Amino acid sequence: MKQKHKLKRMKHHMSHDGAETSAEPEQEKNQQQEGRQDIPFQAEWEEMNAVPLYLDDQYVLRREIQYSLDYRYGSRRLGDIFQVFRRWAQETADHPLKPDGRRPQDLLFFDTETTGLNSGAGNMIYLLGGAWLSEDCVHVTQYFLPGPESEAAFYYHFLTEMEHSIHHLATYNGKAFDWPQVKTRHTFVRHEVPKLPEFGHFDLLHAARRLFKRVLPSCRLSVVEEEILGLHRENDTPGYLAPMLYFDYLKEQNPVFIKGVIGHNEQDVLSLISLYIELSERVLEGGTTPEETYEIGRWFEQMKEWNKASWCYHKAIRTSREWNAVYVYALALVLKKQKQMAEALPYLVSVWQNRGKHAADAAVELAKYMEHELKDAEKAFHYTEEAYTLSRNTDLRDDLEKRRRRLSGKIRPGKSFI
Amino acid sequence: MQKQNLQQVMNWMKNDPEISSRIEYWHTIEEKPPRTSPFPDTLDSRLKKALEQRGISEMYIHQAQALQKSGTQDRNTVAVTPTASGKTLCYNLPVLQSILQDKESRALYLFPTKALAQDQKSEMNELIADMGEDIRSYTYDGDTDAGIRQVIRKAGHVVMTNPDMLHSAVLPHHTKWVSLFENLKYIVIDEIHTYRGVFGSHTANVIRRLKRIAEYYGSSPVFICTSATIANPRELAETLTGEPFHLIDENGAPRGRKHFVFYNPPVVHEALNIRKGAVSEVHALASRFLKENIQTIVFARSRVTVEVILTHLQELVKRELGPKSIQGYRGGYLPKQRREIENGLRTGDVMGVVSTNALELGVDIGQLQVCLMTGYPGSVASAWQQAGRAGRRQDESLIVMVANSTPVDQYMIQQPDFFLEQNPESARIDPDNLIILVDHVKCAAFELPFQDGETFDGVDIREVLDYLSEEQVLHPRGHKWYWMNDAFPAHGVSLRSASQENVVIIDQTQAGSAKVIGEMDRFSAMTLLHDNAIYLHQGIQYQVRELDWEEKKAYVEEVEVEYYTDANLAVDLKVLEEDRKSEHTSFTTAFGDVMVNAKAIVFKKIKMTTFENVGSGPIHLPEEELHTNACWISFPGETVKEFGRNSLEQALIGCANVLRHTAPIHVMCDRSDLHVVPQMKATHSERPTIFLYDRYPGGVGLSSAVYKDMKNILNDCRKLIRSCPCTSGCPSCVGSDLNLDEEAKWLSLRLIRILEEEQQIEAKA
Repeated sequence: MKQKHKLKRMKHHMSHDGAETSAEPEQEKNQQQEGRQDIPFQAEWEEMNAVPLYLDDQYVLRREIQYSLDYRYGSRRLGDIFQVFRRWAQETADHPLKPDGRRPQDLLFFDTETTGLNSGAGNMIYLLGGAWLSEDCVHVTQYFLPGPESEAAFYYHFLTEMEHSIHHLATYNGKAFDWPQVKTRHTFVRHEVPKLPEFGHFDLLHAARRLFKRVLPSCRLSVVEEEILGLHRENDTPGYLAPMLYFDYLKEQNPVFIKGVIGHNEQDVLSLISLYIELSERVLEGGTTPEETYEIGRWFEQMKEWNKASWCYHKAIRTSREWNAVYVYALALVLKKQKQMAEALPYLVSVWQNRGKHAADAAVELAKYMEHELKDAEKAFHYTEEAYTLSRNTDLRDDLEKRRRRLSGKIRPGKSFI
Repeated sequence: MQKQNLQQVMNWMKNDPEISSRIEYWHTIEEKPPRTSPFPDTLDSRLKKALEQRGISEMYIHQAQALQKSGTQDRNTVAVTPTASGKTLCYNLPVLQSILQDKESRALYLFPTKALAQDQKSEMNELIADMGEDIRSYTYDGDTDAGIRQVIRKAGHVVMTNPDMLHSAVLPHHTKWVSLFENLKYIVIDEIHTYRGVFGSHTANVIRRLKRIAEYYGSSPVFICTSATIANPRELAETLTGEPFHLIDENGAPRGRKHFVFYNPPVVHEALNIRKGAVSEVHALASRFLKENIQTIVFARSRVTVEVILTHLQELVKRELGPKSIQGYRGGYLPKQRREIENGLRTGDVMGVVSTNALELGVDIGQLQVCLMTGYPGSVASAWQQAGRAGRRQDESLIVMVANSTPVDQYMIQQPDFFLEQNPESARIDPDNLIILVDHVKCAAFELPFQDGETFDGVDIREVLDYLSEEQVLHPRGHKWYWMNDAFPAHGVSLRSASQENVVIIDQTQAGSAKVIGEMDRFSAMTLLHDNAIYLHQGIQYQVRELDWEEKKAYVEEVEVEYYTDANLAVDLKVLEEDRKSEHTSFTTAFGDVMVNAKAIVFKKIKMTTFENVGSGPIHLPEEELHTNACWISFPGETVKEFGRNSLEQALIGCANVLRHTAPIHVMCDRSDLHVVPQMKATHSERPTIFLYDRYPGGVGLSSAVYKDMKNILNDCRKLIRSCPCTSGCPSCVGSDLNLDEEAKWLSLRLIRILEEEQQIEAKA
């Protein structure tokens, strides 16, 4: 056929980026698909604890594994989550990691595997994995898409069975990646399956970035696991292989190709439980190092939890081996926000006198206080001069220039200061 | 001294002995009164009131027709409208009317450029504000703030975008646009004449994808298109969208008086018929107009010429008007620069603009009084579009076309009737170009799996789907073909450039603060951005320090030199398949697939003032391979005997030179899109042959149009050579190649005569 020849000839003008699959194209497998009971490689699936679930003429595979609450994943016992929830319940301050009335049994620790990393309509999710808790054990439930034609069954069973916990997801970057992709693919089958709930959840990537951004080379889950949870995965299938392995599976139908990915996903969701416990405890304890304590304080500060924030900054100052202007200045500002200027004053003075980081800012704060609160134009003028000398920031210098001019008008002529 | 007005300057042109001797023809187009009809009763009263508030009490007849056909009868319409004839209401009225009746109704507008969409949004929003209705109209492009994107997707009644954005950001994410696609009532495609060649062929496929997604969500939108004057607006609209159209070609808008002046620079070398360059004449005329404070737009065909004229004019008026008052405008400039220029024109801070045809489109830039064309723009449609830049609304205006020495220019200027009476050209696209088609089938499969037996808007693509499965891009399963690859296919497909990847131009003059100043397609980069090439941008000379071909980056630095560079391309061509063939007694024409191997080998340094060759250098770039369509004329061995080997070679080169100019006019493309190669011994037949091939892989219908229209093209070639006053061939006809001798002109004519006589016999038989 003509078009075929042309296609061959012009092949090099057409690039198909992306994954090359590793397996050779194979002859058709002898697949017997009579009736519901027979699915390809059913024995192999069963060995992996997976069973088919049907919807009309489609099926999806559900795999279930249980872990005891005493199972240790890294440094943490999975069952410790109950204790962490109890601690959270006693915490009065608001925090993004706070369960807020939820029980551990309400959560779904959730992760997906997809056919690509982009967010377009053609990027398919083929594995929905979740870990959830009952009173006596941890369950991992994974839904696997045996082929692109089965998406209705895939989402139907996932949404029906996980109906409760899907309202409370805990993910790693799920807000930006997994959940929008679930929404995208759900759109294709939206008339055949239950509605998607509104999205409410803990994105542990956010939390990890808050605490570890400065100490870790990257906040990828594998890095956090190794450096923070003290966990090293043996023979793990790296996530970037997930698309290619699925394409190979589709050709061969043999679950051996994606066994590694399914295992990887299982580890991921368990890891999320450990990570949640770890992060919560660090926040509740106020950090394990002065740097971390300071970051937790900033987080509370952003939540407008001034008391918690100043508590953290106090702790950072106390535990730090050397005097640190950043912590002290942060504490002074948070005291100021709480209208405790008298307490803040000595901290500001020490930062200014140290003539290091934030010295100019501290002098500005002092100048403002002298001018507006104490109405002492001369002292205010003095601190403004100081700030000007200490500052290297041109914007700030422009401001200071104005302040100085204004203040020199207020100072009585002829009288010198200091 | 008091400034002269346009009328006085025109009198000067007519009376000055030197200037008037160069005016070959002064054509005046009289003003035309408006033709209108009253608002129909069906027009929503809120819309009527808003129009009346803006002083519009009735409609031009073309607007009324568009409202009736597309608004009331839901038929697809294409309206042919010259610049500034109120075309916007042709689509805004039916669209607003439908939204007023049903607040769920949605419309998608496609503009060829972002600038145009911005412009139309302001106009639309003013009308909406006058009605005081909550109708939301947004532009959606690369500049759209991330924060507002979600609002646009969910609640935008009118979304204005461009084909590129539709292709790479909207369709691949259609699940985020459900409310638009479920309620899509109108698709507006403005300026469809710009969708030709490669860009048009790509866009036609993007529209196939758009229709497919709309159908999936259950809507069947009505198309409203507008076009500048071309020969086949209805055919083009139908090929572009795959839908039947009603043509609206009676225009009711008024027009001011226009003066169209054909200006030929004086001959400076009688024997060779060499004329003074158009550029220097344009310099002189433009500076005269500008000094009188008459807003003038200068068009030039190539980027290089734009930069040369720009530098000159800026220098000239620097003291009187300030350096900012003359601006350059071309496609390669980044959007922000372009918008500043547009604004300056509107406010009057900018007095003059030097532009490539990037400004041909209907971007509203306020009133310019004079339009100067540096050479014939290459097509009748293009010339009228550029002429429309002067005297928008109903003012008197002046258009001066200054001829180059090229054959076409000289032909046009000496026979103004040909230009003034000629039908405008047809715009050609080939949506079924296999490479383009396959690219978009991939994108479409990513968006939605193909079903067994499903066509791509009527095109049988079964074999393409098979091919893509073999390539492991698609996965057939059950009755569907699923996308099964981790790539995002739209990112690998660019609608605009002939080659897939563009070369980015990086200015590293300031160490440590390198910045991107533009981009260029790969094929052009071979001859314009090779190592040591002089590249002009905004009137500044840059030298290419390094062209990193692997990374597609050209590193340039500012320089000041007295020369520009010009590169040669060596071409090898093989016929792979002959699809069509017509045998004549003493020659054959054919059309088919060819493989072209092109390599830039050497560049020359040419002195700016004298055009002397002042040096050269090698170019080390890999060969580019191109599979494409070509048509060719070949002669049997007898012709060689009859003519003599040397004479035939002369004739072939001569004819090829003329074809290089005439063929693009007929098929409405740029000269660089259709290449002409003469060969004394073609590889496939060992016969003397002239090839004409499409520059884009797979071809976009140019050479096939040449094959069909060969008779008229040859006729034009003969007229062109005949009408040239030179004695033995010159750059204005058969060329002045070093390989040509004194006989070239007559030998070329003799060869064309053979071709034409044969055709006549053919016709009688």
